[in-house]
Amino acid sequence: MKNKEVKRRSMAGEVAVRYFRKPMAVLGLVILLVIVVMCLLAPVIAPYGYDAQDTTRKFTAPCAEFLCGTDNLGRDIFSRLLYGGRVSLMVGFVSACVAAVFGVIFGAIAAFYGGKVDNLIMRFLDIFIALPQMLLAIVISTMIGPGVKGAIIAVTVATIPRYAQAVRAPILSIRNQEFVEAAAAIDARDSRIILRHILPNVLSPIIVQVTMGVGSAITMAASLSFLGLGVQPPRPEWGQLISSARVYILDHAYMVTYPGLAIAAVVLALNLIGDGLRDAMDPRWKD
Amino acid sequence: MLRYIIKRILTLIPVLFCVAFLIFTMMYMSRGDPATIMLGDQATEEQLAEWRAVRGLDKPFWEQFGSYIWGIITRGDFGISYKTGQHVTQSLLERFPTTFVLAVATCAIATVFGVLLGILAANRQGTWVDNLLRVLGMAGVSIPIFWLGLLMIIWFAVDRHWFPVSGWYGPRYIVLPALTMGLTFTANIMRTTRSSMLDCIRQDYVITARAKGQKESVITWHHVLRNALIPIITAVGNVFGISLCGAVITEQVFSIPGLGSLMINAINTRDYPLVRGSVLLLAASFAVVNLLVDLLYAFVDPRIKAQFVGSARRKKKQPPQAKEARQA
Repeated sequence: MKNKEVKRRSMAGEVAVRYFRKPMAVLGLVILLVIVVMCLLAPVIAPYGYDAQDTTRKFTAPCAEFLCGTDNLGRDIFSRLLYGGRVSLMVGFVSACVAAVFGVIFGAIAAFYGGKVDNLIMRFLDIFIALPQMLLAIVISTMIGPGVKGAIIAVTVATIPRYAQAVRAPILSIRNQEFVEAAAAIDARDSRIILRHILPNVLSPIIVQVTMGVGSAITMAASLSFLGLGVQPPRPEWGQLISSARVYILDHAYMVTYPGLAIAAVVLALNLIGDGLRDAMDPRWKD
Repeated sequence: MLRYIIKRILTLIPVLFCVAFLIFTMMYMSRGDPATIMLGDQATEEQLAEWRAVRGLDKPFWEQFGSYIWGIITRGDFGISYKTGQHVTQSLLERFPTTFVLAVATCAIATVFGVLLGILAANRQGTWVDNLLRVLGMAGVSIPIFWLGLLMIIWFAVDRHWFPVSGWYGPRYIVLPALTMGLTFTANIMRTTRSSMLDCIRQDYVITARAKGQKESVITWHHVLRNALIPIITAVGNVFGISLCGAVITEQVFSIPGLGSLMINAINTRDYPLVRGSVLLLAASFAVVNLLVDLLYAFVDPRIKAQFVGSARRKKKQPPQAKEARQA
């Protein structure tokens, strides 16, 4: 009898197959994709402009015409959610990715060279870690001033140390293994060893961290806006929508409900994806 | 042991010094001239200069920072508020107890729910209960605190009148803000409890206990939980530290006159001495909580205590296991 031919798949293929076996992970991906696509297509989908006012229709409760109701100036909340989502998602993705790049650079250099370099970098980051992330973000945005750029910088700087710590530990555990020594023995440059030999081996924890980091970056940016330190009106952003709707919660609770629901859905989706990716990329991590 | 405690307290000082420097520098570099903001646009150049001279703002950076730090060390003086002219130290001391009480209540709620649910999830590993708790926990982590706070107000204060909407005048006012933060942080503690319990559940001594016919409840509470306690304590300490600082947002939602709302008001009015003071106090309490958690390990785990004592005698730098436990 002939042996059944073993189907060979690439590494990414293996991960994808394992990932799509988990319903919750797939659900997370679907939620995220739907929201991202809707926000990207905001100019096409949105029934109204984000600052189109209709003062005769103030505080309309959600109905067929205004899916999520209208606000104090008669603006359609659904349209503002779509446009606001572009800002929120952009801030989240950009700051998480930039923070991850810097964090990985710091963490990799610290772990690879060890000794004094490690001490210097990690003690420096310790100063930032001594402050809780949210507090650090608040202080930084106070310094830079409000706005989209300010929010991105504040969230990025506040989260860099976490990425550095996350990447440092796994690199420490592999930097003395044979393949690193072998690369050093054939006189590879340090940058090449780090980029080609070490980083690919710690890629999966980084990807998981970044996925979940986007979610917490969105929450942090929204919190900054809520405190009045992030994105400023009239530009819609999810946290800022909640912040400006706050005054009206006694009579018009729906104004607060939907933007928060959007944030929670996106962050939950990202967490589900991160969880699924972790299990898919390294089956040993399952508990 | 005492030696170790003293050593840990001493290492705290340079960190706090650096934090103070960081915050001072950031406030120094902030946009906007405080003199113009406080005195208004129509103030003359002489008035502005005089205002700055009185507060020492005309001096070079290092001199300003030096006198600031000197004031804190020698007199516990955090400077004087630009806006009210009050001593910052006094305002901080007035506001701190509120934030502290809120953090304690939050921590209590999160610990009770988190540990109980974590035990439940660990004992029912792989069943629908475990999966449900996992999803709930994930949802809890995903919900923004300020939104949950507003929902709480809508549900329990506006619709049902069970609790007051906002303010801080008695025990009834603590419930909603503490629940808001407590439920959010329950997820953290639940996850840690679950995974830490699962690590211990497979140990030999648990099998031994079961083999000799020990009751399941005793095994859970006595054999497993006690040995799973270290990561849980770390998580609880973390939650306490974060809820001290997370109060910044919750206090805004519920209009609670704590340290957080003092800080946000100070930021909005560009009252830098007040901002510096409140950030520094929050950072210091965060650091102290972390220190206390480290010290608590020794009291919970005799193995670590033995190492502390042993290492103090051998003049080692730091016990390796305590370091690992903290990183975990």
